[in-house]
Amino acid sequence: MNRSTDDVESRLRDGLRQGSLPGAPDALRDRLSRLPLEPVGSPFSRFFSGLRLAALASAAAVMIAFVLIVRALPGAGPIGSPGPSAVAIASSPSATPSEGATPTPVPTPIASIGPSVEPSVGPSGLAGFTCATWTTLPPTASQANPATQINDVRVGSHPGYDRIVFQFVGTARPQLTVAVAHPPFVGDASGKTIDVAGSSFLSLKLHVASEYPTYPGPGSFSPGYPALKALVNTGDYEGYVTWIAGLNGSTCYRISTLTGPTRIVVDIQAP
Amino acid sequence: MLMRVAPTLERREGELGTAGAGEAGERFLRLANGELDRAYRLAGMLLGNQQEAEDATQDALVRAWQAAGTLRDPAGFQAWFDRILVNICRDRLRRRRRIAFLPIEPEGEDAVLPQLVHPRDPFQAVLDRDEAVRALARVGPDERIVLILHYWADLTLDGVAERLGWPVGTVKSRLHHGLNEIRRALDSAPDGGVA
Repeated sequence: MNRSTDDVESRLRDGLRQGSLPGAPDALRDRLSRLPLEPVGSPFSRFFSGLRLAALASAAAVMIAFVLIVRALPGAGPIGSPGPSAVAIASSPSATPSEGATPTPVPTPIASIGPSVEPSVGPSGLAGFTCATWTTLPPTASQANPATQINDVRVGSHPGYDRIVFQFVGTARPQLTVAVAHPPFVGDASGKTIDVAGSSFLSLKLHVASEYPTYPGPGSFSPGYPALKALVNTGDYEGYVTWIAGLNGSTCYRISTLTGPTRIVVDIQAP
Repeated sequence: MLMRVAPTLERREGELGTAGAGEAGERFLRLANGELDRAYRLAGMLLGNQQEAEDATQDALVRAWQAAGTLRDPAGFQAWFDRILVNICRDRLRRRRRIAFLPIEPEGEDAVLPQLVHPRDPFQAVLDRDEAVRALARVGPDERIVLILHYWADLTLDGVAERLGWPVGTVKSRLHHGLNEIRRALDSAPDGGVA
């Protein structure tokens, strides 16, 4: 029996539309409600982070002009001038990490800083910290070699801040998004709730990255430092590696990078 | 909560476009929340069961959130989100074909085969209702997606092409092949495919 296309189409259309279908289950709405409030890199946040960067650039220009004017004044000696260090802080706010014996700091690429808070100088006088809701550090990984492998995760404590270090195989660095997070935390693949010690939290999400099989170390740290109480791995799933940092009240942080080996450093400001 | 099968493809142009930066996240969540039922049903129709529909929609939500920067035109939220969801469903369908082909329900009381889908799964119930719809199980993943988007979601061929990122010609070709498969299934049915 030969059927016309119209006949088959109408059978299909009518058949598909019979009966009732359920709406989205509560678990899905719950998952949606637990996403952080600010989408990473939305057109609006990009626009406003652009404004913020423009404001920072303007501030740097004003400071440079101030330094030049002060230097041009009679009797203003170069030693007493606050110019160079101030300019260095404004133009490269997070380029001075010090990890290990002979670190090789490289300038941190311009990170997309989230809304809410300007970069701040903490009580210890450390510059370059931000309390922004989220910050994205762009990747260096190319399209041809998009995946990066984590081979070490370390934590350490320094005067005024605690440090988290992600180390990578090779020279490529993934994207890192640091965002203020709130419990409950759920394992990316398992869906199980994961407890993280602390009174405030940051999520550290690396993309495109993987820990398996190059990172044999622990999936959680409980250092109990002044700022960093715990660091727990909540996912290595579909190109996203996620760690949750349990903190002691502060959610101000500083992102920087190091080479040889390739590392991303996140410093947590002590409260 | 049971809803009518035919989807309502409402447009919400401008809703995100009027948002300020401080409200962007909240509005994104609200918009995604408004699309959730429709997206879940679409995933269910593409994949044929509740569990996979939930998993795929959840994956799509997370990916959409993480890729929010790629949404160039906020007015196109629905098509953009659908594209992410459809790609995830397509991957699942293709993987499913590579892994195994097991009967959906045990045959008889003594059967011990794994029961992959709950017998009263509402998506499977719709997809089992008519011979023409049952024949969707015989077509390839790409053809199935095109047929569901066109005949269930009521999208134009341009709309289907937009969601798949394909040229319209490719969509027409898949539609043609898919309909031919269904026609062959109906013609070979014992009762001539009479529902």
